Amino acid sequence: MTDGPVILIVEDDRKMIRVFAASLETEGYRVFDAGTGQRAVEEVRTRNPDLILLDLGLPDMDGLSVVPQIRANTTAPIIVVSAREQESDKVKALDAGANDYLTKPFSVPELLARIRVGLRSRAQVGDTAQTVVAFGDYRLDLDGRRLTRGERPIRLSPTEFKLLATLARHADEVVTTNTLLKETWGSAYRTRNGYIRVYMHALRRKIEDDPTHPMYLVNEAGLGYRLCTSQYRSVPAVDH
Amino acid sequence: MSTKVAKDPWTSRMPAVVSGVLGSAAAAILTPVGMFVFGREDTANVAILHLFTIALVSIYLGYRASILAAVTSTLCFDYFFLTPYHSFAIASGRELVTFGGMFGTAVFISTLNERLRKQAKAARQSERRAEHHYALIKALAEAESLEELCTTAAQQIELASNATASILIRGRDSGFHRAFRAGGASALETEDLGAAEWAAAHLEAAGLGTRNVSNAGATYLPLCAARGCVGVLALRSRGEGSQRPSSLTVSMAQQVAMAIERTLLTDEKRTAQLDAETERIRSAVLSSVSHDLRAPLAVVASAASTLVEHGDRLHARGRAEMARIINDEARRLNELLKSLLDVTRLQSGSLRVNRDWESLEEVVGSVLHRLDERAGGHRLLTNVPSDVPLLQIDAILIEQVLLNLVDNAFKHSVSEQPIEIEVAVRGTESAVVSVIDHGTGIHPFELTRIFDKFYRTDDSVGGGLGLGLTIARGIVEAHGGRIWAEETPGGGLTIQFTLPLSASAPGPFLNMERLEEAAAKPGA
Repeated sequence: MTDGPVILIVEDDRKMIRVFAASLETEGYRVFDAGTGQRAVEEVRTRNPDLILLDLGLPDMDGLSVVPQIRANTTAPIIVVSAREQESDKVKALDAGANDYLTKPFSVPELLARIRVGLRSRAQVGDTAQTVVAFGDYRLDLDGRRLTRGERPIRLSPTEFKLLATLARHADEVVTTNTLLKETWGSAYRTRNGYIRVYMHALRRKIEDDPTHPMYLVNEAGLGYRLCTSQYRSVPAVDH
Repeated sequence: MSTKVAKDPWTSRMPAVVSGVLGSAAAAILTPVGMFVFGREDTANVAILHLFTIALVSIYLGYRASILAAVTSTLCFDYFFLTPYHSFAIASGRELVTFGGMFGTAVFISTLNERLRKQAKAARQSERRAEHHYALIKALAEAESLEELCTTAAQQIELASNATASILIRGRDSGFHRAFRAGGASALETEDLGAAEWAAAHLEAAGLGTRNVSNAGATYLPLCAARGCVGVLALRSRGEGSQRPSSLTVSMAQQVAMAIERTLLTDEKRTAQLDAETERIRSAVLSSVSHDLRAPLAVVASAASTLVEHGDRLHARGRAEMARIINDEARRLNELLKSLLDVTRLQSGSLRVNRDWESLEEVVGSVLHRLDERAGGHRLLTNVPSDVPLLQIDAILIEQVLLNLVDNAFKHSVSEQPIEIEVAVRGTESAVVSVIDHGTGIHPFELTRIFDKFYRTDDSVGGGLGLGLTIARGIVEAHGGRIWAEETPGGGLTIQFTLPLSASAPGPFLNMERLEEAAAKPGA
């Protein structure tokens, strides 16, 4: 138990920390906590955590400004935790380098699922050989630029492939529309939200059995998209 | 006597000396004319000729010129036509009468004409005043807001005076808050507030052309109404030098003051009514909400205390049951607080609509994804045509609307009955989204009332606050859409809402897709 992944909880509510710590420690994680943004940055430097759980409402500084400071010190995934009134902060936090988000109040299974996704993608960052992403009975070959369903190849236009590849590189994590636009068309297109909608529409028609009830290409209103792989299908949808 | 009255053709534009000289000259010229036409002996006709000329002079050149002409005529007449000739001496009594009669008649004609002219001028002036007042009253009556009232008043005052006008509004705290000129709102900073305040405090004109704070750049007239000074009228003369405001301007200012007071009173009354209404709602909300919130809280508290104090004596199943109850009730509390917060945001106007190009298909998809785990056996059917254009909406908010409508449908139908979400495009104007249930439905008279705040149907289930549809309506209306309820044919409730389509929507989808396919082929 003592050599499990290290998780840093940045949160100023002691009771919340106790609840999380209890569940996370039973799962074999080692948990440290920081009550302020200042402490958080110090803890990141000294403990080198594998994952950071960052509450955006901190007493000493704006949680948003902590994200880049943490990012400057580590590549570990950051999951931001926000209250409901901070919808727009979530996008900013994600664009500033956070990997995923949770909206308060959330359940412990939900938290554990997000942590697993985060730790898996961290493992993949180190392991560059991971070039095939599977979801459902699809296989996306990032190097060969091919998508197959079972044995059958699915034809994708270059733009559709780029979009899907960006989502697949962050499988099961939310990818903001800004990131998608930047990675697909370049930074000059950052405000062309409509482009994404148009291509996702086409992509859903090629991949989803019921495009109005997508299984894989899930839209998160106001944020972006998430490619849900079968592995983590059991993750409950975000409870609001 | 003001010299700026128009329609006084000659005298007004001519210095008095010139008109005097002209008058005398006209009279003097008559001497050779009279001599030539009538001869030296026909004094009667010569006199009539002189009088006629004086009458003309008095009409066209004014009073002073005609008096001068009368003097000149009489002297010339005496000198050239009365014996002894070439002398001002008068020989006989008869000639004295002629001389005196002529001079007297000349002065009489001049005076009469002058009086007529003055009357005409006064009549013209009062007609003009009446016209300006009438125009002002009409404009003031048509104004619907304080801003409109003040700009239109400034405009009318400018028409009636040779000055630019602006109106400064004075609040209850005696400070100036807003300023208006003929074109619209203007900046308070451009005014000499010291002079304005002096005028308001002393209810007396101040600034340029007055004895008070006379170094100011404009003249400030207080706008006095029943409750005191409601503002100040600032006048900047367009002409040269300083001009005291005319009595017309002063009386117009009086009218404006009363109109401003009336508008302020109406506004205050409206605000007071609104405050009272808000207060009433607030206390109703407070009592209703505290009851609704306390119920789940009480359950959580007793379940939790049971676990803490008797947990070791409970069976595993009992403990799990307590934990489940706490979980459920905490969720419900969260839902209640969320809708309360939403409605507060809607009401305070702090709801921000972040519009972007969004796809209704995705919004519906996102709703389905969220509902996956709480549909609880309900079947959800969707019908979203693939050619619905993108819309300029806030996806988070519209998702909220759909969630509220579907939640409502869940509450009013049993699990075998499917709930349908339909999207349709109507013309080029709007997209219509329908949430259809086949449940118990509601009374026809409730169809509009269900959108009211805290309205709950009698058979209400699920323990909501009655805010879900209110929030939905608020969000839809913030998007420029409409929401309404109708009966589902065959029983149940259908709630529909519209969202405006934008002419410049990207797409249509299929073309974009083909375009890109075509572009991709050579390179692929």
